[in-house]
Amino acid sequence: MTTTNKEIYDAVIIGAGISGLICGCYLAKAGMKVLIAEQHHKPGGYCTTFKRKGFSFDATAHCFGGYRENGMTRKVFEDLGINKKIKIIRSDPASQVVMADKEVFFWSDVNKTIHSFQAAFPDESNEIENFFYFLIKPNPSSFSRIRSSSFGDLLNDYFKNEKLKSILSAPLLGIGGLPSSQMSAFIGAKLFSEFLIDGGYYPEGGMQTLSDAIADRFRELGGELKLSCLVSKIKVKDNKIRGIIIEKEGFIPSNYVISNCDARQTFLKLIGKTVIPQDFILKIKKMTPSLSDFILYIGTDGNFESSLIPGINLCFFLHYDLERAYLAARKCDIDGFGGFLLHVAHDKSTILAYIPASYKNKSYWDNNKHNFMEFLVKQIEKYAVPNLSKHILYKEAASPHTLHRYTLNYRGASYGWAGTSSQLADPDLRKPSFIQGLYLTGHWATLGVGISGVIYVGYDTAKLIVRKEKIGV
Amino acid sequence: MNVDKIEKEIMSIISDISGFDIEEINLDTKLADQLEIDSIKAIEIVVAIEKKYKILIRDEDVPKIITVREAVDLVNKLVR
Amino acid sequence: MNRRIVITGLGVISSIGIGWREFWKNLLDGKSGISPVSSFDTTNHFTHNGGEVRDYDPEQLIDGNKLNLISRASQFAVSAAKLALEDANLSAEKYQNTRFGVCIGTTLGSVQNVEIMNDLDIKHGQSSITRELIYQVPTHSTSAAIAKEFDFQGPNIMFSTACAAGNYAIGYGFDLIRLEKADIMLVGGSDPFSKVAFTGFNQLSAVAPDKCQPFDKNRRGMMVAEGAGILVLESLEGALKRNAHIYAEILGYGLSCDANHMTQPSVEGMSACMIKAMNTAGIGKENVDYVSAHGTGTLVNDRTECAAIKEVFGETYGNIPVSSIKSMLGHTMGAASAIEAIACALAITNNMIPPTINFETPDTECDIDCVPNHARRHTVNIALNNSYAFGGNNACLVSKKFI
Repeated sequence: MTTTNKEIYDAVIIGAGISGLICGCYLAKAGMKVLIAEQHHKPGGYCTTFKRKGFSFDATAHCFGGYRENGMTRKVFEDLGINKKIKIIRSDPASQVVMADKEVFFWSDVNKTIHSFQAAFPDESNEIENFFYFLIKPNPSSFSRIRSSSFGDLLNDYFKNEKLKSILSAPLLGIGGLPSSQMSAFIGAKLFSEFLIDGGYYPEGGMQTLSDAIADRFRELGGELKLSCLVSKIKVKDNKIRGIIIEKEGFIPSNYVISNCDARQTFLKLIGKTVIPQDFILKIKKMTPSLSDFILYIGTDGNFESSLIPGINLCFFLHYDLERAYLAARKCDIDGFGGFLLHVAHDKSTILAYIPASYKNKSYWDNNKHNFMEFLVKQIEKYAVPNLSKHILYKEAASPHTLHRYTLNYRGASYGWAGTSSQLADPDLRKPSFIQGLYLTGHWATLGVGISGVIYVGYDTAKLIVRKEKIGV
Repeated sequence: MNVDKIEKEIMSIISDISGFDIEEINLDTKLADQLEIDSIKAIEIVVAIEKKYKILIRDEDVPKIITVREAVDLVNKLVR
Repeated sequence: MNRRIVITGLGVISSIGIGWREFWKNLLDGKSGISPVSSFDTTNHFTHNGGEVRDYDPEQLIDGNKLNLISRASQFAVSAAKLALEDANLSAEKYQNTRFGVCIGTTLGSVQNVEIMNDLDIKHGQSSITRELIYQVPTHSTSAAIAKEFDFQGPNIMFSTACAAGNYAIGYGFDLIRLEKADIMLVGGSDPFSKVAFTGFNQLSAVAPDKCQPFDKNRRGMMVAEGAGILVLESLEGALKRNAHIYAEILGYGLSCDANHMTQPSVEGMSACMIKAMNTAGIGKENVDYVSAHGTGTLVNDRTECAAIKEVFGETYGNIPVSSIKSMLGHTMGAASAIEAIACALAITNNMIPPTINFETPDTECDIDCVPNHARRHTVNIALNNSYAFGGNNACLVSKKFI
């Protein structure tokens, strides 16, 4: 192989998703020479915005959380000065959950949120308060205690009312792709506190402005970002990272490689099976990715009437049976799912709607994409935005295949590995012991999901490397 | 199993996960206060220990691990 | 499209716990249920320890008036069935009863009644033997007792394939639901601690004096024990419809017969059984995460079972945890494979594997990973449950995590 590029980097990050960008910023800030190679033509991973027919659509992620005073996102954004590059607005209420005959809201003031739940379920008033305070209390030991449990177990510890348990689980099916019986209590609790309780933050201009702002900061700190740049190999010799190979550029030496892309690809394709212990390969192959999503993008004339507050995240179900909904999502049974997730833009110009879905095969989506779109539009019309069709100027959809195509995430997974307790916090998936200098970051590192979760992982990965290099954070 | 060996191995695990040098870690080092071990890292440590020694650490026992010593003692008890 | 079958309720009566919660906790703690035999005099026996169920008060679970109408084997089974139905959130009167059936396995069933009748005959003559005692003798009186207690009017079958009977019962219950001959089945096994069994195994020199040590180089045999394990099986659609908690799905099972020797097992028979089970379940050997061994602690069984495991799994045999909970419970005979199936369901649900306790010295002929002495956290998606009985009756059950 020819070394056409004579630069030697201290660290190369594969993938300019939020986690990779944040990691890159901190490594660059510490004085390391950092390259981020991103295969798409823009940074952001799932935090990108695209334009069609004059409409601006957030591709997948459409808000973030954890921006409260002591929140991780706030700390990192202030540290890096991201908060000065973008304007962050907050929807209040941030989220709304409607299930059959009950409705609750998530407000910026957690007490208001608690009251909203108590009004809907007065018989569990005390338990609701206890539950919310458990979630927002920053006590490490209380979270470790729930390491083996499922979120469903945690709910059973607090509550008896089945409808209440469902309404607490519903948004997690939307933002984690799992029913409460299978979602790790830890991940569920984190998603709840970081995304629902402290959620609804939005970068004015769209999610791309956030990704671009972090990418800009990365460059300002001395980092190099290469876009439309596909990494084809991670070079390992004598169990040590040597560098990467970029298709059109050849071998690029580096001491560290941090993969922010799909873990399966990282190990099975980029590194290659010959270097990886057999039992690790078996483990990876047996692990379960999270579900993907079918996403509907609607451009409107902005004149529709709806009780929905612009900017809010709506989680809607016709029923309370989330286990059945999850199974329906896995079969892509949109009717059986009996619900949808919806986000109305602050200026009402666009609506994003989605349901969790399985990857299936391409011909399935070729044949069914339009049915799904029509069905979702009808559902939204019936339950959330009356007469929506009259106000639609443009609509398009992304299937799990679309998600895969743009991000190369395995089977279009929206949240990395499925957030079950057996797949939680596996140190081997974060820093494999059999290769020196290799780290994983992002939602495939089993340490965090959601934007605030992956920001934490990116920050922490950089911290580990910087400590190792003894150059201070 | 050699007690000293287990002590060294556990310190190595904690060093790896916390990012602190093994020289900075001794039996009395407090995980949360001195090594910045938060809830997710605590779980990482437990997962790493369980996998290495092929044991099971109960959820209830995790909060009792305040210093490195408690981790070492727990492992010694479980592998004996 | 075949019906899928899931486990929605568990009930255990054992020497280490009444009810699955206590049982599971103690399994993970590596607690032994072996104690000096107290239900009869063992002075003239070679060994004096066994796995008797203590802390079991039948009146807590069965109406006092009924107790003298059913044998200890049936009391165990009825109690475990009650626990399982409660666990499954099922109340018999809400459903169409002819679609609910019972399928139980045993070795000697209500043999204690034969012993009682024998003693009465010797002491007081034949006329002292009551009608009630006689009614309890037929082996199938146990499954009948369960049916009567819960008004289950569907198929009612008793299997007498001894140490593999629990798996046979679970397999048959699985088939009945699959074939739509039933919707809910109470399946499992039960056996009391009997003088006949204890003496018989003593005479075969198959019993260890102090502890059961499966796969250990110095193992000295099995431990006679008693207990019951009952599972609620139902169709997946039925379970989902009533929002039942699902422990695991049963993918299938394999049966084989060595056609060889009454007490000497064969590697061919054991491996054929595992392979058949995996084929029926539609899984490959690389999918198996845990094997609940028959692991009685006898020289012959353990050696043969390990050879069979190596044959089936090839080079990767060392990667699969294989533990025997008989190390803790002893051999509960007809209940064994049912109780072990319950342990598999819990291993799958919790991603934890119970240990093989009393393991001191490795045996090169049994160099599988026997999860020695300490429970282990391990992701268990698919578990195999092995059981091998006299006459070369082999059964292997495959369960899977339901997701």
